Amino acid sequence: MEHLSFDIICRMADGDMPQSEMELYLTHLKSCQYCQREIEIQRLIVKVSRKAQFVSPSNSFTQSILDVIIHSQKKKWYEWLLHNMGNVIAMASVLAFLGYIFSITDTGTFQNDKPPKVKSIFEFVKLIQEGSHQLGSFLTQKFSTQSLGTSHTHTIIFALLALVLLVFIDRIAGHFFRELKA
Amino acid sequence: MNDTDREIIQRVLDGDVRSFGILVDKHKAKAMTLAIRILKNREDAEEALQDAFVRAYRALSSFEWKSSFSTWLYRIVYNTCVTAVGKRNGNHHLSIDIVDEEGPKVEIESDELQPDIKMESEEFSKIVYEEVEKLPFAYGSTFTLFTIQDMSYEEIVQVTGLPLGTVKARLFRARTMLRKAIVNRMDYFPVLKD
Repeated sequence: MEHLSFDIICRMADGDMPQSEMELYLTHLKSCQYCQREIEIQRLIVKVSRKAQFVSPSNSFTQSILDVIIHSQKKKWYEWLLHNMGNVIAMASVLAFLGYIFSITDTGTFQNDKPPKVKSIFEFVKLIQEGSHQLGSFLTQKFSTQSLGTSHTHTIIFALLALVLLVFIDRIAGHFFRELKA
Repeated sequence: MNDTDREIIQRVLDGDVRSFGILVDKHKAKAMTLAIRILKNREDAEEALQDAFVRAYRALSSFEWKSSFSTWLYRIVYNTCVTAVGKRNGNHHLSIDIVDEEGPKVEIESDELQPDIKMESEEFSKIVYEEVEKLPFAYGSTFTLFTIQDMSYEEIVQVTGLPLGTVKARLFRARTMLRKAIVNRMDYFPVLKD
């Protein structure tokens, strides 16, 4: 007797066969114990496999994943710096602007008789002063008219520049943050 | 705990990292079973599964619900495990040390079985489980997705990225191998022995 193919056996066992096709094999099935058993064993294999208990990972599995995720979210200092570059630049701009203001006013003169620890800080501020002053002079020379050139003009120009810069940085930084969140 | 995957994922995306733990708890057992079927080793499977879950977390914002979350997750698990198999230089079939100390238990609804098989149901289940474990990973993983994960052919295609014909061929081959191994081990199927 010729038996049903293994493919047909599996499809019948899975119930993955249209009724019209199944009727073609019913006559054979009624008289063939071999094919009946084959369908039965395939049905049982799948049934038993579907009832099998799942293998659970260790008890600390979930916590270890959360630890990895949370740890990876803690930013290193340079990552924080890059992430907050907008703020960093804004702060630097404000510092430069203040430095420049100091540089063109009498209040910006620092004495060298400060305590040693504070002295290095004042030297750093002085450096900013000088740099800002040079930049200010350059910009004034380039863009100002003949009537400008006083300390007040310097202040107004840099106040406007700093304001525009801060608004620009704020917009750009806000845009990037929204993109990152999205 | 009755929250749907969608609700939990939304909470995670809103910044509640701890909610991801609920997703892990919900899917870890089925995913671990799949990982073990592929890697044939508990330690390797757990390591690969942890890697897969972390990858899933990082890619969660790009998940577009074109399939169910579980199908998407199993695809990550499958790919991670297959990569791990490749790194192991293809010697995965040499270490079949899956069985727990207590041994995985298999339950069947015995009153639906034929009398002769009912008597031997525990033995039958044990043999089926052992033989499924021995399947090469290509067949074992496909068979696992079909049975334990209860997936359709189309879902298996999504998870494995294999063509439908290959999935069907692997499943066919897995069942042929299982049939042969089981019949050889069971005394009460003499009629099936060639």
